[in-house]
Amino acid sequence: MGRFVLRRLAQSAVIVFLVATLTFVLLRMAPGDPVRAQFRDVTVSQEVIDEYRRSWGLDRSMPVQYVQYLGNLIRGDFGQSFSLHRPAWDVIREALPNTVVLALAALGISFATGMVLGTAQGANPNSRMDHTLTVITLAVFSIPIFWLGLMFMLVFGQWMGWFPIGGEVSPVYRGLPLVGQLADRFRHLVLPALTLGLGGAAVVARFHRAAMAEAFAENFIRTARAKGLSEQTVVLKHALRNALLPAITMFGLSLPVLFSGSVLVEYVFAWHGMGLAAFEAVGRRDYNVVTAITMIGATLVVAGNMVADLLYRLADPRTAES
Amino acid sequence: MLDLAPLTIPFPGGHMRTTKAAACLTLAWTIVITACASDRPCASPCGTIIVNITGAPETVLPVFAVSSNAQAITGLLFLPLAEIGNDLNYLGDGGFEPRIARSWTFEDSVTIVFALDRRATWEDGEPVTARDVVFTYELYRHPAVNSDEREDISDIVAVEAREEHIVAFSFSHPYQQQFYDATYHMRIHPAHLLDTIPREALRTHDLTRAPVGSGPYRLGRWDVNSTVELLANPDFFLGAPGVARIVVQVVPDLNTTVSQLIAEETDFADFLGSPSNVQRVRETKEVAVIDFPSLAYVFVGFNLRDPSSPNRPHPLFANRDVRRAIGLAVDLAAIAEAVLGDSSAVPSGPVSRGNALWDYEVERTPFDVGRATQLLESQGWTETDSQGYRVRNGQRLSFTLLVPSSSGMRRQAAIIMESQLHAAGIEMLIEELEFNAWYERSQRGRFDATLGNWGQKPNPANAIGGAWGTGGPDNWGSYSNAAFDSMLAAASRATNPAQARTNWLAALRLLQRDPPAVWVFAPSQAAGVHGRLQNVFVRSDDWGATMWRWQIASDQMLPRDRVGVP
Amino acid sequence: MRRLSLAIAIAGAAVVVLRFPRIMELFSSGAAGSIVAAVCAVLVPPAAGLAWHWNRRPGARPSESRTARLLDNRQFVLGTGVVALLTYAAVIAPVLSSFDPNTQTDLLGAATLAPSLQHPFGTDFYSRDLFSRMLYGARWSLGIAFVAVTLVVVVGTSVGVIAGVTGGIVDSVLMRMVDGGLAIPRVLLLLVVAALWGNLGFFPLAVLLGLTGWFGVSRIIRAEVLSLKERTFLAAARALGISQLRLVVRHILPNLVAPVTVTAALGVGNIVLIEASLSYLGIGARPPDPGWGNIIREGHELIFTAPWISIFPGAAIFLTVIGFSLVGDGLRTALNPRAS
Repeated sequence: MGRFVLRRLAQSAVIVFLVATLTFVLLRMAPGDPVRAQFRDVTVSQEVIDEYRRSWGLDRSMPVQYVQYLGNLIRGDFGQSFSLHRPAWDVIREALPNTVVLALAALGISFATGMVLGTAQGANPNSRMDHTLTVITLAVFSIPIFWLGLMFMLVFGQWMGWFPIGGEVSPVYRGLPLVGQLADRFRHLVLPALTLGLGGAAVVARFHRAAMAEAFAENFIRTARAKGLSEQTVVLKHALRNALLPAITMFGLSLPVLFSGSVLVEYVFAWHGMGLAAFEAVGRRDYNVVTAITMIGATLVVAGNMVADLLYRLADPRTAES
Repeated sequence: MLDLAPLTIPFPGGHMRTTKAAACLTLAWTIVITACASDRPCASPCGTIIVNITGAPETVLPVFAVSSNAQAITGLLFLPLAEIGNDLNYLGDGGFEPRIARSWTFEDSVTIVFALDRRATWEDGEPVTARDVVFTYELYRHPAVNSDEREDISDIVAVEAREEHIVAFSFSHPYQQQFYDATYHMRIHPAHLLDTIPREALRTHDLTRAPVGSGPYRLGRWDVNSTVELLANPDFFLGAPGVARIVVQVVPDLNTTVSQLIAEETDFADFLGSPSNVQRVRETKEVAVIDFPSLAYVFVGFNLRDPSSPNRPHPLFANRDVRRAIGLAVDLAAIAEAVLGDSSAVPSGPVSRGNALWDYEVERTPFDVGRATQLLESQGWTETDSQGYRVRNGQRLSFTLLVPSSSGMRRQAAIIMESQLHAAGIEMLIEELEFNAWYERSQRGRFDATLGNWGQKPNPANAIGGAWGTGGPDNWGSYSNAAFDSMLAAASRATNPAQARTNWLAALRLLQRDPPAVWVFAPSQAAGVHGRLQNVFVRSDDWGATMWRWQIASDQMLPRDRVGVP
Repeated sequence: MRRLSLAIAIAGAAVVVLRFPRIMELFSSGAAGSIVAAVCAVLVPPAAGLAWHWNRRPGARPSESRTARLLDNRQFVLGTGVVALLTYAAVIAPVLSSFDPNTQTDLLGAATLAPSLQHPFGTDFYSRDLFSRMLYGARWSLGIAFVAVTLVVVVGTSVGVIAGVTGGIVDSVLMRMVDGGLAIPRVLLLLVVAALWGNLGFFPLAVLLGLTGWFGVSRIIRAEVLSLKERTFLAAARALGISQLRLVVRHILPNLVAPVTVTAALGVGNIVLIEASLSYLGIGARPPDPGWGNIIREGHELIFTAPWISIFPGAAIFLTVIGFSLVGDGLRTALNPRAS
């Protein structure tokens, strides 16, 4: 197991390096001058432009820029943000916790809801409940995520007034007492987490239903039933355990999807996380911020996959020898 | 990935005055009674204004501020010598109000002398002196600081401190906008704190994140991505601000902002987006809509050079009559009404509604397909192909329009124009590009036609010359007309306002006859303001300009007004 | 299946009868596209009728075959019906609607009209007939989804099977590539692509969507192969010395049908959804041409005042997803030997 972990760590490093290179190439390939992007419609003279280009090191040749870029990354230095006049890391430091909170909440909703629904469906395939739930999960899955967000906002935010409409905390958050701060955070989290989590729940439910149905078709379930075990024991102890493998794969897979989805959700709900920061940084051609976010995002995804692989090994002794 | 900037307007703000009475009128009946019967503002600064903006401000130090939001925020922390009047007059000193400068005299045709207000102090208690003004000028002109206002103050040749509170500005030549140039572009920075920092290091120095200003507000807290919190300076030398705290929060989606306004979660947004968004706010009785002229105009710019080989003229648009025919074939009034709704307006040249030249007598290009047809046929476009497009020598009358995908309104205008031009036998292909890609293609002249949007400062001279004058830095389509250039030069050198105006109008009439573009629309902008705010006025170029005078009636405070106010 | 044929025949016949003048108009228009649509409209009802008639005879085909099981599966039949109707509507779009999808009927007078008899789905911001735009938009959106999903399934399955079966260094290299692909936020990738190419054509966009979407599939397939490899029957087969190729073709691929169909079924809807979000970035059908994504995008700005503009394409996406999922489920139940 130790060697496996070491090998996976080395592989992860390679992936992160590949991502760093690809990000560099993609950003430099993209049209749009990073200096001009800071000024949008404002008229600026060529001198001003050239001065910025020089001070950001964009006047040097591509290979030189690439070497410097890698050197800085290795030292953990993401460089300065072009648009914000401060280290790119400052942006991450503020945005990362917000994204992690939202993603964890959404993951929780996805897997809790998805596994329960999937188990219920898989245990009673082709029943009326199975068909109803299939239609419902499909319906949720096929709603564009921004649409779902806007509808939640309209119904539960504007009409009902149960939840605030945007932001991760209210603007006057810092003046609240501790309990008020916690409640404030929770109230702000509900709608975005539901929006991001429900789509995932539908996917989890579908895969889990399939996995459960497969598991039920296995010989050992028949054996278990033949042994006279109660249906509950069969479902929970045997079928569910066997269906956990695909769920773990799903977990690994859902991280990047979650990261992409969070861009839209964060945008709609003004949730100041990495997705929103990335969206803005790409719009402003803020290379260093985009790189920083991509690298952190990629590292998280790679780490998530590694954990999923480890869990997979622990859960399925059959893959252990291969 | 909704519409980020339906119209990227660099200098928003407004003209339409909302006095207390007007504010009451715009509110619905139910709250008029409560709102206007007993509006007693607090004696000292009270309450909180929550402001929504779509993009994070890049800095809180004015010299580095580029975006309109950063300018508005830094404007609450730092003061200029004098503040431009609410009518945005830029000729002479008419309408300008004293700020750091208490008074001024025009010593001769190239010198203005300012006497500073002795009461003005920095947040740390140091007095504001002539040394700060001289330092500020040097700061803005310094190449390593690289302020984008550097060019705007290039006619100022020297700023010298005559006494501790007397400072003199010298100009390279006599012209009408000297006072505007001396006061509008620069906000005074503290020399005693910043002078010791090397200029190249200033941009990233810690002090830029903890600015010490002399304005009505102080920086409370700044979270880069999400919020800027400003706290009232009760000892402000021109009188304490009305509201104790301003929280500016970044909310990128305008749909969200509108929903927050309606749910009373936010108080102010200077831009609401589409007419349907504005309508949603209008239907809410707790929130008032303030219409004000925008300083931006939208145009279809023609490329007069061949995009594939810039030394050759453009096969279509080098011809004046083809350009004119396209202008005649689009129904601009219909486009403006469909896209902008009630606030529709067709410009007759490169001027915005907020511009002092707006209501001039230059006629608009009419919608006249018959005349367009005549012009095209006179140029040999006589035949028509099976899809109804005009053909000459076997070639279809066709061009591509670049449209930035970030702008919903421009996209809408393009789709309507495509259909109208089709009816006139002209094929216009729409190419949508991400904003920066669109900008780069346009700026490099790699286009047939591009759908652009220029924002202007109150003084249009540089912007109009830069965009349409020969060799101008923003003259994407390489338009060149010597007569137009000389009229522009005459206008900016005029010695009195009337003469300046005559020259401007002559230049604009010329652009009607030899158009470098179709002037599509000049929007009016709508801001949403919570009804409990009083004394609200939105200036077209800067939404924060008068915010320190806004007030909240003590009996109308919301619970959130009081939370955490020191 | 018989009932489905009958339903299509009746629906098609109804279209021919009700829209007869329009069909004649299209025949006489001389434009190739219109004539193809008109011919399809005329030919489909008799074809469906024949299918119904032919299937009516009992004992026409052996009832024990897989095909028979498939055709008797209600989910599969229902899903096929939905997909077939959507596709049919897309093909005969000019017959169903008299409006050109891009014509702005009356910009100021007829914009954002609610659904009515004249405009069954209402009109959009530009006063264009939404029903017509939906029909023509289906051609773009469904077409892209078909091509892209085919690519996703082919590439994803191949890579997954190769990695899973060979193992060792090949597996490592392939899976690290996949990890890298998965680790790059797709949104960033698409933003850059959007910046590089403004208006992509149909096939480049389909290929782009296909090539950025297979990473996940290959991982699922590989996991499935690994798990299959350890099953008793495969261990036995290997012990008997069966060749690698034979193992793959005879034992692994058939067992992959279930996961692949689920993936493909969800994939179609997923691609349609991604196409919708791409439209926000300006990659999609070139305006003014319709795609479901474009229509949703244009409707989004009016979501509170003219919700029907985004509801109809939303519903179309929903129907597409449901249809393909039912097809997938049906296929799995019918084809999976273990599930029976």
